[in-house]
Amino acid sequence: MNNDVSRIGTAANVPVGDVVRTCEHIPVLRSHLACPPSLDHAVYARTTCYPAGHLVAKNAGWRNIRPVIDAEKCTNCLQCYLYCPDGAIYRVPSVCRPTELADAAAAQATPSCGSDPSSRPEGRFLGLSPQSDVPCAPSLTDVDQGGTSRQVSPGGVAVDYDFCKGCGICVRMCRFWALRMIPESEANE
Amino acid sequence: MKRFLSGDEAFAEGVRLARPQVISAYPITPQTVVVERLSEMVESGQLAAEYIHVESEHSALSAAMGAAATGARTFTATSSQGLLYMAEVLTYAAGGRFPIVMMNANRATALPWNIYGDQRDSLALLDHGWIQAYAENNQEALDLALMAYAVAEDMRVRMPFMVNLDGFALTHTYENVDIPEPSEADAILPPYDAAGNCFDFDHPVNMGYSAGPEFNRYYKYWAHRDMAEAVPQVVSVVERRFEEVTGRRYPGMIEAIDCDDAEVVLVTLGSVAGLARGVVSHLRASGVRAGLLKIRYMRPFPARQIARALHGAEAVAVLEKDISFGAEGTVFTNVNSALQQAGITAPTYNFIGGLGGDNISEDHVVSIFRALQCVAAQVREQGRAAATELPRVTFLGVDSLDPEPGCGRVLGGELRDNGAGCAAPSCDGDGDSSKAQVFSVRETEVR
Ligand code: SF4
Ligand code: SF4
Repeated sequence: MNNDVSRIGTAANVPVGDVVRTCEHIPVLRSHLACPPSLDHAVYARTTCYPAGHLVAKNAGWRNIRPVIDAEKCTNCLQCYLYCPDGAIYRVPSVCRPTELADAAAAQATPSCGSDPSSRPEGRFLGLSPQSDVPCAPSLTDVDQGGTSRQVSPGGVAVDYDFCKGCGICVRMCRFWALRMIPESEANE
Repeated sequence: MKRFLSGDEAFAEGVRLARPQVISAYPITPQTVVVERLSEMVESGQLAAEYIHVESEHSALSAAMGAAATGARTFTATSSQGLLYMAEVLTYAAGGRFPIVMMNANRATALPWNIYGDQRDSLALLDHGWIQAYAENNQEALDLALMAYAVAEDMRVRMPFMVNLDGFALTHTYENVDIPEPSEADAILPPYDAAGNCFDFDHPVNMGYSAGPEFNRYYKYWAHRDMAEAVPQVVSVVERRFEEVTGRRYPGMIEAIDCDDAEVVLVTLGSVAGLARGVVSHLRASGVRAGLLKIRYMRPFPARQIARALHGAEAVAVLEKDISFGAEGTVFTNVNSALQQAGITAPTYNFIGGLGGDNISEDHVVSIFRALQCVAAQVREQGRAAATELPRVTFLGVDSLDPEPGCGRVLGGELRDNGAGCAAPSCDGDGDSSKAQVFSVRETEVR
């Protein structure tokens, strides 16, 4: 699967009525979500309801502050998701969640690594090797090569920084003080 | 159960039976009664719905859309300026494929300010992606309320549905209507399953996103195809189910009355069809091969059915409460397109009436048929060029509908002296005095 963002827009050459099935034609930025429901426009173009990040170009260049999730405090309530005006908050499939990834990593590292949230730096799982057995890992790395990252709470709640515009609404909506805004210059990517 | 109800009240009964979970509306004459009744039903506990009082029509439809995005069955209602104020959200709701049902009380649009009925409001919004149906009477209005949900929510359709009731002519006019039992309504309308198009905490999705030039066309393509192909099929499935349960039969996208062997056909929509029905049956009784084509759905536009119904006609009139200024009535444009596509070359004429609540009388309808007969006869005698003797667009109550000199010969003596439709400013537009000379149409039979 080629996730090269330079391919965005190639679908413009696909005639109406063609069934578009492959990533050759659709910029599947979020292919790490494992299984987008369908890449056939006869399916996806019947609603405007789709996992964040598919089908559209990256659109976050104007952001100068970003929300970060405190994995310890996040209760996975998804209030932030409900209010995010850009659908930039999503839930990572369980196979990709940091607890499990961290557990997998922990098995090869120190025993305490997976259980101590403080030892889990933001976006840590991004560093997993593309050769990992975890199915979603290779595409995570692909996306990362495009200069983006995600940051996932243990419940699997994540902010998609390819689309987050930095409005801060999610921070206001979180009742558990699990979100805060930080300047882009302080973001560790 | 039979009850004597206005169109607004009948529609509210239909909505009650559909059990919407969220109703959001802003009152506007002549829609007000439908939302008053519904709010009473919610207050009394008769209807278990969340009733949202909003500050504008724009918010009314926005709230309905938000509720639909959580998987709720939703209802809103409006009219005229309110509908136009909603216009921005109409395309949102349609593009998001939210099966919201809305009642629109057809009413004139300002200026000059006018609260009475015409169809300029909804016909101006045909291109906004909503299914649009027009009711002829209060029973049809009530039944459409139920069927609208069944059609809109069908997996093959998933589109918002606007049911149009002529302001005052239906909304404020009382008729006997038969109200289905709740069990019957449930047999017609299953609960709404929003799967795949709603907020879902197990699979959080982005809703109402952007789609740039490389994808936008697919959304529009499928909206068009689903509207054109799925809606007529689902309408007939739902109407069959409706008939099995209630015994009332509806004829699909159009209703063709006496069109098979008709020489002259009037095409119209909404409550005027009830008036024209009576006129056609009297004309038939006096030997005139007249037909009536009632358009029930303007979107999707039943072009093929219309062409089939009109293929034998020698002259066709389209009577509508609408004008696209500088062009012609929008229904007329649509009908002409259907005929042109089907290779039907019968002359067609547009009659604009009922604007701002103006009366359309039996005499008007009779005069339109007379003018059609006249043209048909002239075309038969003198060829197609004679078809231009009747103007393309005629305003009832302004332009004269008197037959051309010489036309009386073809029409025959019994039709000649009818001054109906005389529309000089000094003349009573309804032409009552001479009506009886032509047909003894009983007023009570027609609304
Ligand atoms: S970040 Fe806050 S609002 Fe979002 S899921 Fe976590 S606890 Fe809930
Ligand atoms: S900052 Fe705004 S755009 Fe970004 S995730 Fe929060 S609510 Fe969404």
